[in-house]
Amino acid sequence: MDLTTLLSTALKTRISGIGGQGAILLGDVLAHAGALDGINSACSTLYGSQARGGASKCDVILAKQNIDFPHVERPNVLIALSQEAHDGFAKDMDEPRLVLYDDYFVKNLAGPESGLTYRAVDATTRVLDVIGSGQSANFYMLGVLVGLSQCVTLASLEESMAKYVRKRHLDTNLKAFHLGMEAARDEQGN
Amino acid sequence: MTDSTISSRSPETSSPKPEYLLGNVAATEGALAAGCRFFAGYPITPSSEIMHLMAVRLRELEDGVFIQMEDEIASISALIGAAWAGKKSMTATSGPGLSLMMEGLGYAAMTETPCVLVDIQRAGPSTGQATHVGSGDVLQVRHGSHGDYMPVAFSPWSVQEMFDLTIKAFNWAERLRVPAFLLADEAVGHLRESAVLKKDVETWDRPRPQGPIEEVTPFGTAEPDGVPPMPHFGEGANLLVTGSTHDPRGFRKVDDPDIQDTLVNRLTAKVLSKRDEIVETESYFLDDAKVAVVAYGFTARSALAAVKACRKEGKAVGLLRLKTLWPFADKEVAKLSAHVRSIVFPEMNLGQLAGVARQHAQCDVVSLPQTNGRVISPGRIRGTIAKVWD
Repeated sequence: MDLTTLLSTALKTRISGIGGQGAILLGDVLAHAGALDGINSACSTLYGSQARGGASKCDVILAKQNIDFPHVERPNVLIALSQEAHDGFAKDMDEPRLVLYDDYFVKNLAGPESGLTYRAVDATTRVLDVIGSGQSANFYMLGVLVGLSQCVTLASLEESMAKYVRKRHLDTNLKAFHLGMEAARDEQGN
Repeated sequence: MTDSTISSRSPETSSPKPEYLLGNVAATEGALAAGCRFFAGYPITPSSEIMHLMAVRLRELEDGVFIQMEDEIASISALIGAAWAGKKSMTATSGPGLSLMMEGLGYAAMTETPCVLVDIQRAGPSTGQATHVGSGDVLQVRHGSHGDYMPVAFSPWSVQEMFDLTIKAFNWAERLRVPAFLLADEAVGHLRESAVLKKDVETWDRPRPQGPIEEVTPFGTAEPDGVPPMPHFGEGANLLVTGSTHDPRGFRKVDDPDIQDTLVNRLTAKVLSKRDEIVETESYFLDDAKVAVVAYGFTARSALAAVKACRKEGKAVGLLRLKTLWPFADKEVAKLSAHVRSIVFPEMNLGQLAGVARQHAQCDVVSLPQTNGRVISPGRIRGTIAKVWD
């Protein structure tokens, strides 16, 4: 699966979870990294009371061409950080309909008739094991996405993280991100 | 919003490379680049990021002043006072706050006070849906205060234009001594995308007294459409600023029909005489179009996507995008309407500007209204184009 080719038109990613899991932070980091790479990026978020403790959603478009309509109607990739995110958004997707889900939280998947490509990601399990806290599971997921898609350069991503992530959490999140990148690489190697 | 979203940056050190930022942040940076050094406001969703950032940024500047006011009436009143003390001043608000500002808007128009109002429109009327999008303030900024006046209003469709058109709003406010609007919607205010914040921008200043200060006429010109010079408090002019009808020196003349007539006509004429310079539109695929979409703000982004999709189907459809809403692009709409069968006019209200377009169009104007607090999708615009096409 080559997500990189989508960049020539538009790579549309939806990141969703529960408020506090860092979906919007991920979107900002990814979109800012795209801008640093010189490609067009647009990011829109679910804005309102439901985002505070309830469902949270952040859509990112990365594209080499101009982005006419900057909202995402049908994502290519869904990063599901919660069961609710999967249930709400794992439908109406564009090719390749890739769902990256945190298997610590997402247990029930849509059936094979959904036409979705699922990739279980052990984000929370792994960061709990290696780092000792599940808080940086979001950056592990981002590491997997960037590892699979090469949609932004590592240098830009790290610069973007340095801008958006609080200093005292930066090292932990960078570690989680690199663990995710390695996991994607290992998976692709297999 | 993360702290870094409103982190400090300076136009002087900004890079000409594209940056990734929030629409409301770009508007704030545009204001500062235009020379804004005074902000008074009362926080309101979905405009609050502008006030948050102004509180940080103005404090960093030696001549910057930021005040949180008790309400929006006080906010616009403070803008007017600051402008007369020599500052370029701005506030940011949304529908309910804008409604409170209507009294001050008329006062700013009547006293010819340059100031900028950023309105990040949400779904109304009243408190409506605070976190959801709308474009329901379009007619209010034109007619919401009593009496005749003519504001200047820009409608950004991107984060880039939140920066660029805020600068234009300041420039026209200054040049014409009028209240000017950045009439944005929540979807653009809260959009995050790449934009270039230019280091050096062209800025215009209000006309200033040239001769002896005691001879200045701050409220009258020999021409019926002129913009008088504006002295500031503390410079020595015997300055009277009043919302009541006044003569060129500022003396109240509340019984004189000629002075009232001359003043009120000039308030509008000074704007309309520059109409061709102020009004900005953009055309997409209009050369051979049989059906045209006319749109503004975020909706124009949906419209462009819809138009491109129609072109792929072989339909000759184009887009006229309005960058300015007031003065209205009457000539451009009239010209367009002579060459197309129909105009489709999507907007996030019940057809406020479509009604104005009908006054100038020779062809059918099909309003596509939507007031559910959500953006109009490209698919919905395509659907209406398809109906009109058949």
